[in-house]
Amino acid sequence: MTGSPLELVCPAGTPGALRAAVDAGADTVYLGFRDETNARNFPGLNFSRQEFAEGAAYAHSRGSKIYVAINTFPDAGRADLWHRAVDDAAAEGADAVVVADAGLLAYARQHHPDLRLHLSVQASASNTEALGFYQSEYGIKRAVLPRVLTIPEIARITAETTVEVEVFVFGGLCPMAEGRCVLSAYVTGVSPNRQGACAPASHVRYEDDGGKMISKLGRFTINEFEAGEPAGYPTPCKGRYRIDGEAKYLFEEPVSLLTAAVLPDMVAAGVRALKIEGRQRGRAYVADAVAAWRRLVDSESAQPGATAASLEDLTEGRRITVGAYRKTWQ
Amino acid sequence: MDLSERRELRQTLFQFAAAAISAAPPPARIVEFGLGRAAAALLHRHPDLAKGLRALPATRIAIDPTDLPYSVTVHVGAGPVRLRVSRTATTPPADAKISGTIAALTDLAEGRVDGDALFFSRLLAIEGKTEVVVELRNMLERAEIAVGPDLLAACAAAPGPARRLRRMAANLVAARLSPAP
Repeated sequence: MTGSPLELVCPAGTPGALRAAVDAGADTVYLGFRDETNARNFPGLNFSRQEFAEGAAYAHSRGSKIYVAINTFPDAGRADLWHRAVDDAAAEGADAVVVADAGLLAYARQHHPDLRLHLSVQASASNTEALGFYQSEYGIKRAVLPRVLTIPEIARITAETTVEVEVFVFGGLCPMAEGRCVLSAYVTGVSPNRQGACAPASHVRYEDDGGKMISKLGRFTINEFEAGEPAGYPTPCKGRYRIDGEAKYLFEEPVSLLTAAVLPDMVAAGVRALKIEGRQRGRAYVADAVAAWRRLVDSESAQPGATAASLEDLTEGRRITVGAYRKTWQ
Repeated sequence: MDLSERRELRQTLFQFAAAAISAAPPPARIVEFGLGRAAAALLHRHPDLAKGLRALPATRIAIDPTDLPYSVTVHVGAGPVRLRVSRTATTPPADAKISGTIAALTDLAEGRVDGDALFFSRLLAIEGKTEVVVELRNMLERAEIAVGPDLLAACAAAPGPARRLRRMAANLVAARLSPAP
C-alpha cells in the first residue's frame, strides 16, 4: 500500500490472485464469496469463508484493505443467503461491503452499524440525488459510478456530494445500465443481476469452422471471428449481428476500458478511488494490471502510452477505449 | 535477465523441444506412461486439485497441443483422473477440447498467463462443454502448480528408482559443471 491520495481497488477471484494483487501494490482487493451473492458467480471462482479469512489476514498484515462484493439482488423469500454473506464479511474483518440492493443495505446498516457500506456499480446510481438518497437512508460512504458518465459529469457529481466516488479504469466494459441489463437473462434464463453470471459458461459454446471461431450463447450466435482475428467475450452486448444483411456490432465491440490517458482529468474531477475490473481473470492478469496501474498512479512521469502498450495483451479484442469518459460514443 | 527475456527464453525452449519431438515422435504409449506418472505426482502434491477433479461431472477433456503430434484425453469426475495419449489424427471423441501450443498450455496450467488473454489473442481455443473448462481453469489457478519444481520435489520424495534417477541426474549435471582436468 502507498500513501497516494488515490486508492487502487483491485480484483481477485482466487487466493493466489489476492496475494498477487497485494504484492503488486493494491491498496485494496475486492472479492466475492462462492455463491450467487456476487456478480462474478462463475464455476470454480471466488472465495470460501476460510479462504476469505486467510486472504483478509494476508492483506491486512501488508497494509491493504479488503472489500467484499455482495452486489446481486436477493430473490424474494431467499434473502438469508445475502444476509449471511454480509454477516460473515463483517465478522471476518472486511473493510467494506459493496452492495447494490436497497433492502440489503438496510439490513447491513441495521445489523452492522460499524460496517462501511459502498454502493455497487450494480445500483446504477448516476446523479447526485441518487447518491444523496443512499447516503441519508443507509449511510453509504462511497459509490462506484456506472461506466456511462463523462468526466465533466463526474466532476459535477463530486462537487455536490460528500459521498466518495470510485470509477472503473481498466478491464471489461459494461456499456449497459448496470444492474438493469436483461440481455443475457433473456437469452439464457440466468440473470447477471440475481444469479451473478452474465453469459454463464453453462450456456456458452465455441465451434471451430475451418479456422473461424463461432461463439454461441444459448441458441443465439453471438459472433464469428475469422482465423487470427482477436476475440471477445460471448456477451450479447458485444455481439455482432446481421442487420439489413450486414454483420455489425449493435451495442459495443469487443474492447477493454483503459483510462490511463484521462487519469489526470479523473483526479481533477475529484475521483477518490480507481477500480480495476476482472475478478474472473487469472493471477497473471491481476499481477500485470495492478503493477502497471501502481506505476501510473505513483509516478508523475509515467507515460499513459507505455501503460497501454504493457496492458494490450490482456485486453478483450486486443483493443482499448476510454469509453464514455471522453464522450465519443452514446 | 529480466522477466520478458526469461519468458522469451522459455518460449524458445518449448518451441525447440516441440520441434525435436515432432521430428522423431516416441510411441504414444511411452508418452502416456511418462505423462501419467508426472500427473500422478502433481496430483499427489496438490490434493485439493485431485479432490476437485474427482468432484467434477464425468467428462472427457481433450488437450490438444497444436505443435505436437499427440493429444491427451483427460477423464475427470467419477473416480481418479485417467489420461490417454493418442496421435492427433486418432484423438477419441471428447466432451470438451482445449487447444494451444504446448508452451501456452503449460503456462496456463501454471498460471503464468491469463487464460482470457490467450483466448482473446486466439492462442487458446476451446470447444464443447465450456462450463467444465472454466471450472478446470479456475481449479488450476487455485492450485498454483509449478510443473518443474513440483516434479522435482516428487522425485526427491519418491523411494527407490525415482530417487536413484534423480541422484544420477544430479551427478551428471555436477560432472558437466566441473572444470575440465
